[in-house]
Amino acid sequence: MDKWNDEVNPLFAQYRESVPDPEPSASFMPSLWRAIDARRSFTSRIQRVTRLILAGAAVACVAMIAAVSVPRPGIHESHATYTDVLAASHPAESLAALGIVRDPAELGK
Amino acid sequence: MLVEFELIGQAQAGDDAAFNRIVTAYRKRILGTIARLIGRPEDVEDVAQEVFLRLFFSLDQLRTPEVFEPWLYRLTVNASYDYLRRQRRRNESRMADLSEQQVMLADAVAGGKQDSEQQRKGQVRELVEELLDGVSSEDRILLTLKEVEGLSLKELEKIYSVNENALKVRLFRARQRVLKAFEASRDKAPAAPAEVKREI
Repeated sequence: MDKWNDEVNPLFAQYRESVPDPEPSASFMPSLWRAIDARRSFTSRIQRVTRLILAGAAVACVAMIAAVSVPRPGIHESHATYTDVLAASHPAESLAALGIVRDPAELGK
Repeated sequence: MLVEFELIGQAQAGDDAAFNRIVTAYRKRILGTIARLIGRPEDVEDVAQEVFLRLFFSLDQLRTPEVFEPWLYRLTVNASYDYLRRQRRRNESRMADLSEQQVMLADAVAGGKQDSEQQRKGQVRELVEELLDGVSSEDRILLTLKEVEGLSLKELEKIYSVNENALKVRLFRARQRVLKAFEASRDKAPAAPAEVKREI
């Protein structure tokens, strides 16, 4: 480390002298505030858009919950099984018109 | 401290005038530190603006005003490091990209307008910047803060948030790398400027 102390360290000390603190330009503060304001307005715009999206999502959620929970007229809740409902919706006469004949054993049940 | 703790508190509370006063108090010192950290005078103001911009938007994260200065230094180091990384990526060496100061220096030398003192300073600057260019951005910043800015190990500990021993190891290795670059530059260019040679 002798070489450092004898040769390189003094060089760094001279470097400190050869690069003095520069004077800020006249436009330093105005452009800093312009940059701050630009970022501030961008951030507030993002916040506003985020708030709008959140509000929209909340409204959509409430609407969907209401649509699901409110009973609609015309839709009757049935306790019948799927096959019963299917059979009821396809009476034997209309099936016969299509050439489908029900199994008599099935009919007797 | 260049400002009162109270002023920092006011700026944290959103007082723009207080922030303005803090910037006015520290800008010259920060500009000087950045000038020596990055070695490109034409970009110093841009990097300083980035430092104060980061300061403005993160001031509310500062826990106590007592750690304001190391914190500002950390922002300065980070912004300078980001700048140096971007520069290294560009890896430029064209004349058009030389720093204003280097171009002015070259012009003045060509025109024979420079006095010997300016010339000596220019040579020291070039030599040190060449040495620092030969090491990583991390080493460059650490060495500049310690050897050029004269920060103590205690101050560096606060900036880097690492213990003294780890810093000493990093400093030792960085110095070794600079010494290697120094020796290599001397071997490569035996005709180094006489005045600088005499100085060192």
